[in-house]
Amino acid sequence: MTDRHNTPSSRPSDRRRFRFGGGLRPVAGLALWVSAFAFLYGGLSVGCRAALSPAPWLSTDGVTLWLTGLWLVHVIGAAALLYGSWRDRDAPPRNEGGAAGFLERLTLTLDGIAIAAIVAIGVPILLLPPCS
Amino acid sequence: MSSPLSTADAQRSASPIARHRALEALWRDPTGWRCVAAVNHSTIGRRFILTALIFFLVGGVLAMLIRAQLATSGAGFLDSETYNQIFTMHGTLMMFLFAIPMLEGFAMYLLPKMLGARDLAYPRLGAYAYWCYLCGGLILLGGMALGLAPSSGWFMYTPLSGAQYSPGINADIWLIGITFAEISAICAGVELITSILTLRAPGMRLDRMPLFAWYVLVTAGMILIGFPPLILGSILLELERAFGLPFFEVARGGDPLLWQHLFWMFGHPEVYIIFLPAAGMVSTMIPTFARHPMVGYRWIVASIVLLAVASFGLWVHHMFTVGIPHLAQSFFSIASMLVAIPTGVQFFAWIATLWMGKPVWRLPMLYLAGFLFVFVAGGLTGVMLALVPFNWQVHDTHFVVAHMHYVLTGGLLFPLFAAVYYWMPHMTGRMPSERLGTWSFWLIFGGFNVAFLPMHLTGLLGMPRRVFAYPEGLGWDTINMVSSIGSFVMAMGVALFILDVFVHARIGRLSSRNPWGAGTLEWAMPTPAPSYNFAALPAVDDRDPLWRTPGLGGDLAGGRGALANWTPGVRETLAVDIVDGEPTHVVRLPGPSFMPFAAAMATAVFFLCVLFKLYAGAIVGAAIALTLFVVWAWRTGADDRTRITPEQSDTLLPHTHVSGTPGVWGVGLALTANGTLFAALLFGYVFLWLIAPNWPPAAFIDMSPAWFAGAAVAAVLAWFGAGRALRAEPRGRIATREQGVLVCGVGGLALAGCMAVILAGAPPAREHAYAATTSVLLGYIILHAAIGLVFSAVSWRRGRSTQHVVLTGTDLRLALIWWRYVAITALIVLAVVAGMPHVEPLR
Repeated sequence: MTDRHNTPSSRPSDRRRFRFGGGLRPVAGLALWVSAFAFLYGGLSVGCRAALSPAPWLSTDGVTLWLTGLWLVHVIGAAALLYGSWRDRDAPPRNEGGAAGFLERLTLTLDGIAIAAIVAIGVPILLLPPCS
Repeated sequence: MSSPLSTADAQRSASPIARHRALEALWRDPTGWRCVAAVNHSTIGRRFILTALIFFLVGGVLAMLIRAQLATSGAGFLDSETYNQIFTMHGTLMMFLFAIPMLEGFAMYLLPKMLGARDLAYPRLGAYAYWCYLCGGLILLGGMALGLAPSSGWFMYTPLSGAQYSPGINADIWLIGITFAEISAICAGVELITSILTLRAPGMRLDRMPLFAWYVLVTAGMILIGFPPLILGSILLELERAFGLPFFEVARGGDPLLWQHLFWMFGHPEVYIIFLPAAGMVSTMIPTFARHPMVGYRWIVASIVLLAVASFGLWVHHMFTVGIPHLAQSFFSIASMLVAIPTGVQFFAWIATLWMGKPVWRLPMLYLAGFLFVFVAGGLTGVMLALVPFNWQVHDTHFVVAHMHYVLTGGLLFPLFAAVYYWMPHMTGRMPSERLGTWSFWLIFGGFNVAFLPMHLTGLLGMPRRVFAYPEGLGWDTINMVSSIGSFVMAMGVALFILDVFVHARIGRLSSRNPWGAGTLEWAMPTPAPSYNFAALPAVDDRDPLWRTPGLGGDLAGGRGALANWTPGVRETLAVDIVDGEPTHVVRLPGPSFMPFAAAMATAVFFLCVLFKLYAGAIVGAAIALTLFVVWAWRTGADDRTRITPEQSDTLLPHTHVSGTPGVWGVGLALTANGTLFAALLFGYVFLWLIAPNWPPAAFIDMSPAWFAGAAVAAVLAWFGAGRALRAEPRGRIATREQGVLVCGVGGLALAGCMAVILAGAPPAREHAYAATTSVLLGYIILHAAIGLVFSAVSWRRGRSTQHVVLTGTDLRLALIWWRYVAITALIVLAVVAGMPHVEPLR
C-alpha cells in the first residue's frame, strides 16, 4: 500500500456511485429530441414508401397523421421530463448546492431547451405536404 | 539497495528539489531509440501537436498550389488529375490529419495538468493512438509522394470513388489511411472521457471543472458517436472496391446516397468536433485576460451539450439538392438554424466576461479578437446555407468554400494560434515575441479576409468548386487574382508565426511561473512542465484555484497536497467520484512500453496488406496485432501483488482492488463507438431496403428457423455464462466461476457456428446489396463472438494464474460487458435478417 500523505481517506463502498443511467439524466431531454428527429425522418420515409392512407373520417393525409402522432408522443415525453425536473427544482440535492445541485439545474435547463427544439422541428409537419 | 527517498518519512521531509528529482526519475520518458516506448501524456500530446503541424504545413503548401492555379483563367500550371489530387489531399490533410489530431494533442497535453492529475487514464492507449495516427498520415503522404494520392474530393462521393471511375489504389489509400487515423481518434476519445470523469484533483466537482474539460469531454463523446459511421462507410466502400460487394452500385441494389448519408453523419459533427475544443481554449483564455471568472458557466455547459447533440441532426443540409422530400429538408433546415443558438450563447458569455472584467490586451487576445470576427461571419453564412432555397442556388460553388473556410479558420486556426502563444511559456518556459506575433496576426487576418471574402462573390457569380480551370470573360478573373494574393499574404503570416514560435521557444525571454495571471491549475507547476506534473496533488475548492491561492504551485512543489509520497517504481494518480470529486482510489499507471508501438506496427502491416490486396499478409498482421493486444491485456496489472488487510481497508485502495476501474470504462466507451457503427450498419440496411432502386433482390435468405432460434439461445447462453462467472467470483466459488466461463465459451462458439451456417445460406454476397448487407451483419456478429471467446479465455487463464488473482473480478466484468453487447446485437441481427423479408411487401 502506498503511504498517502495528506490524502483524504474514503472507502468506495461509502460513497454514492455514479450510475450510467443516472449520469445521463441531464441529456435525457436532448436524447428525446434525437429520437424525435430519427423517428420523424425515418417515419417520413417509411410512411411515404408505404403510401399510408388517411382515415376516411379525416381530411388530412395519412402520412401527416402518422408523423403528427410520432411528434406528439415526443412532445408529451419531453413535457413529462420537464415537469419532473421542474417539480424537483427545490428538493434536495439541488437546494444543497454543490455538484448535484449543478446537475439538477443543468437538467432543468436542457429539458426546457429540448421541448422547445422538439416543438420547433415538428411544426413543418402541419404546414408541408409530406412526400413531395 | 534502497533509494535515500524510499521511506515515507524521508519522502515527507524531502526538499522540493529532491522531490522533483525523484519524481522526474519515476515519470520521465526514455531517450534515444527507446523514445518509441514513451507513454507520458506530455510527450504524446507534444508528438500529436508537432506531427499535426507538419501535416498542416503540407496542406498549406497544397493550398498555395490551388490558389496559384486559380489565380488566372485557363491556367496550365497544373493538369486536371494533379489538381484533383491536390484539392483532395488539401481537404483530407486539414480535416483529418491536422485539425482533430492537433486539438487532441492539446487536450492530451493540457487536461491532466488542468485537472490536477499526473497522467491520462490509459497512457499506452494514448501512445498507440499516436502511432496509428502517424501511420495513417504517412500512408496518405506516401501515396501523394508517389503520385497515387486520392483524387475524388475529401468526401469521396460514390460512384466517383468506386472501382469503375477510380481504378487503381488512389481511393483505397484514402479509405485505409483515414480509417487508420480514425482508430487513433477513437482511442484518444476513450482515453479523454475516462480521464476527465475519473482522474481529477480531490474536491474538483463537476461544477468546478475547467470549462476546457467540459468542452473536451463533450467533443470526445462526439468522436465516439460521430466517427464510426465514416469508418463503416470506408469499410463498405473498400469491400465494394476490393471484393465486388455492392453497397453503392445502383445496378445491384446499392445506392450512392448511402455513402453521402454515412459520410455526412460523420462530416457535420466533425465541424463541431473541431470547433468545440477550440472554443474551450477561448473559454480558458478570455477569463484570464478579462481578469474575471467566466460568466454563465452553467449556460455554457448547457450550450456545449446542446451544440453536440444538435450537430448530429444537421447532416442532410449537405444533401439538400439530392432529391429528399421538402418536409425532410425542413427538419434539417430547422436543426441547422437551431444550432446557431448555443453558439450565440457562448459568444454572449465571452463578451459578457470581457465586459464585466478589466481586460488586459496581450498577444493571444489579438488572435481571440480575430476569432470572434471571422467565426461570426462564417456562422452567419452558415445560417444562410441552412435555408433550403438559398442552399440550392449556391450548392457546390465557391460560396460554400468561403463559408467553410470562415468557419474552420475562424473556429480553429485563430483560437489555436492564440492557444499556442498562451501555452507556449508552459511548454517551453519562454515567452513569444509580441512584435512578431502582432505582425503575423495582421498578415494572417488581412490575408485571410482578402482571400476568402471575395470568394463569396465568385460563388454567387456561379463559379463551381473543384474545377481546375475556368474560361475568361465570366467576371471571375480579377476576384480570383485578389483571392490568390490574399492567400499568399496569409501564408507569409503563418510562416512568420511558426518562425516566432520556434525561435522564441529557444531564445525567448524566460517566463515566470504564471505569466498571464491565469486561474487554472496547469500554471501551478514549474515551466517548462515537469513530466510528473504535480509533486503533490492539489485540493480544489474553486473553479479558478490559482486566483484563490496564488501560492499553490509552491505548496505543491513542497509536497503539501495529496499523494505527496510515492512508491518507488510505481506511477500513481488519484481517481475521484465523478460528480463530487471525492477521492475513491489510487490508479496505478504503466510506465514506458514498446507494446503500443509494436501493436501499431502490426496494425499497419494489416492495413498495408489490405491496401495492396495481400490478404494472407493481412491475416498474419491481424493475428500478430491480436496476439500483442492479448499480451498487453495479460500484463496489465500483473505486477500488482498488493494484499489488503482489514486495517488498511479505510484508506484509498489501488484500482486493482475496486470496481469501476479504468478498464471497465474503457471497454464500455469502446463499445459505445462500436454500437454506433452497428447502428449505422442497421441504418444502411434499412435505407437500402426502403430507398434504393432495383429492389427486391432475386432471392432472400433460405434457412431453417431452427438455426435462428439456435443462434438466439447460444447468444443468451454466452451472456448468462459470463454473468454467472462474475457473480461467483466475490463469493470465492471457483468451480462455479469456471463453469460460468465454460458455459459462456460454449455459447459463444455455438453463436459463431450458427451465424456461419446462416451466412452460408444467404445468396452470394456479390449478387445484390441485400445479400451484401446481410453478410456484413452476420459477419459482424461472428467477429464479435470470436473476440469474446478470446476475452473469456484470457479472463479464465488469468483467473487461474497466481500472478493475477486480484484482477479476476475485473476481467470477468469486462467479459460480461462484452458478451452482453454481443448477445444484444446478435438478437437484433437475427430479428432483422429473419424478419425483414416478411415486411418486404410494405415497399
